[in-house]
Amino acid sequence: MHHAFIDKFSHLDSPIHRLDPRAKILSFLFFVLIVVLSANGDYTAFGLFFLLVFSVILLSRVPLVYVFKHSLVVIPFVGFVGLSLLFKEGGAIAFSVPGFGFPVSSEGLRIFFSVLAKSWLSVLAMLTLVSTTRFPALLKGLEWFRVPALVLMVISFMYRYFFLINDEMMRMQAARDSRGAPSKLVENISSAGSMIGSLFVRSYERAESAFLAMCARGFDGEMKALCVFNPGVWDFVFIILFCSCALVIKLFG
Amino acid sequence: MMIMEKNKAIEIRNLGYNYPDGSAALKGIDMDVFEGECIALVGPNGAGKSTLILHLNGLLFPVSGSVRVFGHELNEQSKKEIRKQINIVFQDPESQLFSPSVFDDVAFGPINMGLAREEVFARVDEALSHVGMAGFAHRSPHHLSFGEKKKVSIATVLSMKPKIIVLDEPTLGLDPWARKDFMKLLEKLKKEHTLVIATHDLELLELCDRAYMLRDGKVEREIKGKEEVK
Repeated sequence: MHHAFIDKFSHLDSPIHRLDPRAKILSFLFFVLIVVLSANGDYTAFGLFFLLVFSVILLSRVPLVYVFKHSLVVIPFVGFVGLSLLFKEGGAIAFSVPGFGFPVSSEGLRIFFSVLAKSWLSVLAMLTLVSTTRFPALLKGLEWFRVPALVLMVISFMYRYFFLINDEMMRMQAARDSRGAPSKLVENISSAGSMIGSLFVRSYERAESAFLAMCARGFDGEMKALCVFNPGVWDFVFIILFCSCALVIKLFG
Repeated sequence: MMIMEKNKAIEIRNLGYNYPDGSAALKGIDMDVFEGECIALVGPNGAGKSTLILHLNGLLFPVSGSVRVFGHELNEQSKKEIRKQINIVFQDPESQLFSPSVFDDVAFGPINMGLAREEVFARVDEALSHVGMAGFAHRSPHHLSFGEKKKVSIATVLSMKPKIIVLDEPTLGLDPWARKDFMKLLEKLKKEHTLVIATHDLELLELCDRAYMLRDGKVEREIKGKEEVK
């Protein structure tokens, strides 16, 4: 079975795709930092931040629908966590929750929407980064920034084996269903339990055999990767332009 | 007589190994592989073929007896050097290929050998074109077909330039078209390397000069000569 991972569009060719992964990592992380630090309720700034990422997405030729659809994933989580912010005291009372009478303050609303906007913008930036950089290149970029090797190894194995494990689960499900498993979720719980169990054992065995294959080729506990970077003038131009735009928006937005 | 004059690539004497639970997996195996030979390991499932293979480059060490590669005894100290001479292509390419890209996987061995950057690049290119997978360096292994994964698996070992290659069930699970392609690759490998192949595949057996029949952790018999192998 074939799956597309989060870096589905990273194989396109565009000025943004051609940039050095380190330039993109640096710029987008700086962007996220600036967005998070910008004042609550500064909707003009949020709009301008959006325009900045939007123009990069346009340049990268990654389908807009894809990026926006996936960026919305974060909204329910942040929305749920941020619910309590609505009842923050301060400012005029905007309205009361019907039936309960809890007052929602205008200050609360302002912070709530700012948090939503900031997290959405950050996810948008990260999605753009991942969609325009091949995953191995991204890992090598992160390695250059001294992200611990162990963390990178875990991410790299996850990227390699996630869909394999997913496939195994789908095959087990198919095998179960074809033998007439009940369609109701509740009645399937016991078989789901044993499926998870055997999935765990299989993954464990897979880890063991992959480890043997690594040792056979001289692995001694330290992951040594070969970083290939070809930084050019455009990488510096991109960093300076992108970061200064974000900074200007923050300062004068 | 010809064969006696050649160098012994692998010499196994009275090799014994027990599983962690104490049951005997290998019971006194004797085996010789000469340089340039293609040897088959045959036998029913559970006969000990895969366990024996793990002993050939120090992934397991014998409880009794010894393994020598080009005259050097295989042990904790020598395993690093010996792994440059002899390497294993595992049965399941999903285990053999563990990196996010084909390049990283093929470069893994050479990098661990401490080779210079340019040399690593040259070896990756060479190994991939040798197995007919040039241009796949930046693909992700999980997007390759099974046959392609098998070929890249061989490249991951070729890039280390070993003299001996050990293959565990290399043709298992390949469709007839991929198989045909793969057999040609094995014939090519045979010309340049000493091969040890664990297999049930009759067609593959014809490629081999000799075979060892394993059963219950012992060598049941040695099948000498191409005619008898057939």
